Amino acid sequence: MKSLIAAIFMISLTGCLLEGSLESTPGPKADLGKNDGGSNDDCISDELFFNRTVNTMITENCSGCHAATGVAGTSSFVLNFSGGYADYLERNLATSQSLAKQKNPDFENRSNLILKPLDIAKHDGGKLFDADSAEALILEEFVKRIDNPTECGDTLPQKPYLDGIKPLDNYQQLRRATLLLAGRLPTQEEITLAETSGVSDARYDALMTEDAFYGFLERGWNDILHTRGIEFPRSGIDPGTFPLRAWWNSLPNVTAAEKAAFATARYGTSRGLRQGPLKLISHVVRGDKPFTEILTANYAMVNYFSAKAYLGTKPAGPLDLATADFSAADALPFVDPTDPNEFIPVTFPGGGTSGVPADEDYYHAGLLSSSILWHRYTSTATNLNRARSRVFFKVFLDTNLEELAPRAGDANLIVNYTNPTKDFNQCSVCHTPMDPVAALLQNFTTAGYRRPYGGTWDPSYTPGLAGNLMPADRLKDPERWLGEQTIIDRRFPLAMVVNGYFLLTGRERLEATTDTSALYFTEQQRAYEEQRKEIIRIAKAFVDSNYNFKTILKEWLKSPLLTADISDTELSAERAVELGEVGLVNLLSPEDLSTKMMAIFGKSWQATNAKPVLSDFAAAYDGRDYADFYYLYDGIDSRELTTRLKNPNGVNGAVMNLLAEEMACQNTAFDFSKPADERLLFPNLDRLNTDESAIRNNLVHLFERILGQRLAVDDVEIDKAYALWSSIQQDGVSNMGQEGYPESMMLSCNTAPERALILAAIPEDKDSTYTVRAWQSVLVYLLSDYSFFFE
Amino acid sequence: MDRRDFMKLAALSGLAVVTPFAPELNAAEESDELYTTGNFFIAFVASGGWDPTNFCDPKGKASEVDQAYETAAIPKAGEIPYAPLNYSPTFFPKYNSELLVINGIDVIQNGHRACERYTWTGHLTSKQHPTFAAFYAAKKSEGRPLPLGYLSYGAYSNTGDLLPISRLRGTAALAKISKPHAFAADDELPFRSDFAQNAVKQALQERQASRLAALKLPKTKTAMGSMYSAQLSASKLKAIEAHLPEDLDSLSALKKQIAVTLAACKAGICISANISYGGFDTHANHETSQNARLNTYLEGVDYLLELAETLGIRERILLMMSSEFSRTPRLNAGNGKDHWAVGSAMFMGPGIRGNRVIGATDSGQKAQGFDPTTMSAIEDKTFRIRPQHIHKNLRKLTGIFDAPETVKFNLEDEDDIDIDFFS
Repeated sequence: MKSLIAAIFMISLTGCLLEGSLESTPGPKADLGKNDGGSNDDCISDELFFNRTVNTMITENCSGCHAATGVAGTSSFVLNFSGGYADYLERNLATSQSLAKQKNPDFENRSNLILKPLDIAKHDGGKLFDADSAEALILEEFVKRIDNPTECGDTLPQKPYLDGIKPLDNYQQLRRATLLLAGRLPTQEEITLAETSGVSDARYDALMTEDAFYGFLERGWNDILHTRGIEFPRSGIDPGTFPLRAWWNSLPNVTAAEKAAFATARYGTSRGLRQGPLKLISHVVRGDKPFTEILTANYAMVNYFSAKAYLGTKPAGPLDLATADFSAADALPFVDPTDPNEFIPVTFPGGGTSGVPADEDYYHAGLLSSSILWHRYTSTATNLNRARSRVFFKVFLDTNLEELAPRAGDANLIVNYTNPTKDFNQCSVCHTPMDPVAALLQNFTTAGYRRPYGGTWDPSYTPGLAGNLMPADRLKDPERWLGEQTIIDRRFPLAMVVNGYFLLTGRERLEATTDTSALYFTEQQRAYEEQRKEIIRIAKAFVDSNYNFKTILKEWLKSPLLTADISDTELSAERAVELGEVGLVNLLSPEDLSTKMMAIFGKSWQATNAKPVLSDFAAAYDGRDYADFYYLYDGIDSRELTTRLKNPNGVNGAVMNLLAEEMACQNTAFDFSKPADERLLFPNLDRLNTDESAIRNNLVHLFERILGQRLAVDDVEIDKAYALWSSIQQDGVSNMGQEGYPESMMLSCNTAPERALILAAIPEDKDSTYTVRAWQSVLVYLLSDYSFFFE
Repeated sequence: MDRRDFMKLAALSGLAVVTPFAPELNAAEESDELYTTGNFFIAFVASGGWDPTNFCDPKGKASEVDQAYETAAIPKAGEIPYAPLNYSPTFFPKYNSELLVINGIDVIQNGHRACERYTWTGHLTSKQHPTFAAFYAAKKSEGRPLPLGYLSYGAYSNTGDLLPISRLRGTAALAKISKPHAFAADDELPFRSDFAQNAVKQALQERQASRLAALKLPKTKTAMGSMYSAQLSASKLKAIEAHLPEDLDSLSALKKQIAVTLAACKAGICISANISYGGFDTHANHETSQNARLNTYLEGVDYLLELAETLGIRERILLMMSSEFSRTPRLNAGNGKDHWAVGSAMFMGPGIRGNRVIGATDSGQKAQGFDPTTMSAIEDKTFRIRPQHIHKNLRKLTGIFDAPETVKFNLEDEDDIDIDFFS
């Protein structure tokens, strides 16, 4: 048995002492663990010993009964055999430690962890293995370690995880961070600084003050929350509390001017409502506020239009805008009320059907009180708020409720229970954490309105979180109690680190492998452990920075797991699995790719009618031209399409090919038409210049600008690119005027205004040296490259 | 670099069964690169949890299951009983001779995600396992880079990194993206000379091969290989246009999925697909909502088979119809039915012997025991039909059971038993 062989191998090594397994129990602001500072190369930490040997062994021997869904599911030794809990190994370690510490006075104070499986102390499952078996040896060693914790560093009897892996250089790290966070290329000054002293924390911090960063942040969080996918956001807020939720609908809509005003009001209101939750996140981050505020904020974010929807009042009866009162919205300090993108925080008044007394402020609890968020995850009367509870656990506590019981037993037994969600362990394993949180959200209706609860909630589950019951006097505002409890749960900072990882990589965190028979089990386990360590490290930094979310992004971008770039040697199959998640490999979304094109070319990809081809989500959502391309190139609608692709398919490939061709065509002559010192692609290069040295110098510039590759002028890649340029240019000149070789610069791919600009600068419209098309070809070559589409 | 060399590189990249590209293919090789002779696999997914008692596992009012029809009124099409509801009275008599129904499949638990995974991969816990559709497409592609090799319209669609997943929303832009080298206004007018285009293509192939051979990390290599394959296969997309129905724009969303999938299959650029139809999670107003969904679903299957006949590929389609789980026997307080772990699947196509029902549930909709030697449901047996048994049989039926990847994507078949469901 592979795992036991590994265990025996590890036991044979001299153990020395290590303090500091990870805290495992969720609950009030637990310590996230300690930094181990030792460096004894022969030392095996208790945590590693448990992960690689004890947990493997108990998974193979105990999972049949000692899972929450097993026959021993009500015993004190209940283990997790699924990845539903991100910290499942840490939980199992804590449970095993607890049993190991139980010394049985009837048997010479030996540990029950050993006595039970040997059936020396009574074990309902009988004797599982012999006293001299490898399994028993493992448990003996584990108990010794519990009694005398091993104190050694975090070093392992194996090579360092990233041994032989080179990181990106400082320039590459700077370029990546600048493009991802700020949507631009780094300046020369920034590059010089990075090359001399690395990418400083201050540089990361500065990037995250730029406006473009908040676009990145909101897009990323929408990929998690998907609130932009709400088709009619006004339907998510309660007309009983917000009677003017669709105030624009009463505007006159006959003349052209009226239609325009109507459309502006409708768009502004929908945008204000739909974007509110995402704007709350960016408001907290922009102000360097503790990120816990996303669950506790006593306000919501509104633009002027949605402020009218939330704060407007009217006399009883049908809506008449002449008598409607928008004074509360009008009094808000908007700089430009007509700007639908200006959002400010506002505390709503109570009253209406919300259940909040009219003389109190609305019971805001950040995202948790957002009807828009809960409207995105509509509920049903008989499963009230369970889906919302699932979303809550996944996003804010990194706990996947649906994965808590993958090894359930006999479903037929359900008929023996009148209340299976509470009493049948195959159901209760998920419902026990899920239903108390669903109960905390009980004041939100199936549509997401906040209305005092009056339904048929299952009374067998008391509102609470992680075993903590909500005090009765908080029945008035359970969502606020939930927020208060969540932010002191140990899992909250860890979950935010996982969300930050998703924002940067588009990937979920790794899950622990529970199948001990899996090929490369040990390697998969190590990959998980190494990433988990990094998640915990960053979570501590996050907490230490007073929960500043920027810390998470900064620490991830600096993390060796994401800066890893290239291997010294060819990797073995085992090593390839171990390093399977290492490196930042992110197929750029259409939004991010558009931003990158803006950074490189000063403009994005556009059709000849000037419409954006890879339009952003809002444009695609509104059904504007070319929305097709948005979806063909990995766009999501946050409704039916909610996930991005990790690797491109043939459809993406087709869009990539088209993009390369059209961007090359649209930008070559156009860039040459600008004054030499304003050009982005061909600075100070004459369009007709065919001198090899000048061409090579410009190729160096293009490799850096487009791909971020800094090459010497005699680099082999420059040789190849020059050969390409030269062969095409010479062929063009040789055949000029013949079929397929028109003299024109071929400007049909440009918009009319661009064509006019180009022809003003180059009125002859001649490419008789074929240099424009040679450069176009080189641009296609570069724009088809992996480094352009991935970061 | 020749094609063989590149295949080695592709294997190193982690996309072991996808060949990124084949340089300078001549016309005959281009044709060979399409999937023109093998069978297709289509997973017709009822997403949310369907209710088999309303079609293929009828119980009637005499049972312990809340039903809207009398037990005595249960009709039979050949050997297959069905509920007299929704589209069933049209569907079952029309297709019973080809149809295999498997009832009493125990998916053990009842969370959507885990059960989707179990139903469509055959493995309950593994997040790495590909769906059968993905595994099948990867193996049957035999190195052909196909732009829509595994086309998914949703539902569980993990690929195990064997090949990229393809999505196709909207077809209006297909004509343009499949012809990137020419102006939109005049697609016969290229941006540059043929010489320039070929020179770029050749230079790109060399650069891509060189980058793929570099000592990059596994994730990077996989992404690179996938991207190069995607770029190479893109030109084949245009083949789909000739097979799209003229009334495509007027079709329902489900029928559009079907029409595009079959056109892609006919064009030789698709091997397997997930057709996904949702809304089966009827926790409230079960009878009305569930029957409306089943009606559309079964009518959709009918449409698929008719259209496949028209396209001349009906005999090549292996169809699996299923859902992640089923619905509880009794109505809840909201007249809905909640999640239930014992469900059904239906199969049609090459290698499937029809007019049969295998497995059973009892009058309370609990899974009955199953005797794999006699292939009959027996009350006192504890053995249950589970997804891994079906997937093992599917792998054998389609000749991919012995693929090297089976070691990595094992099925946790603790019983180590072969059940011949299909023949």
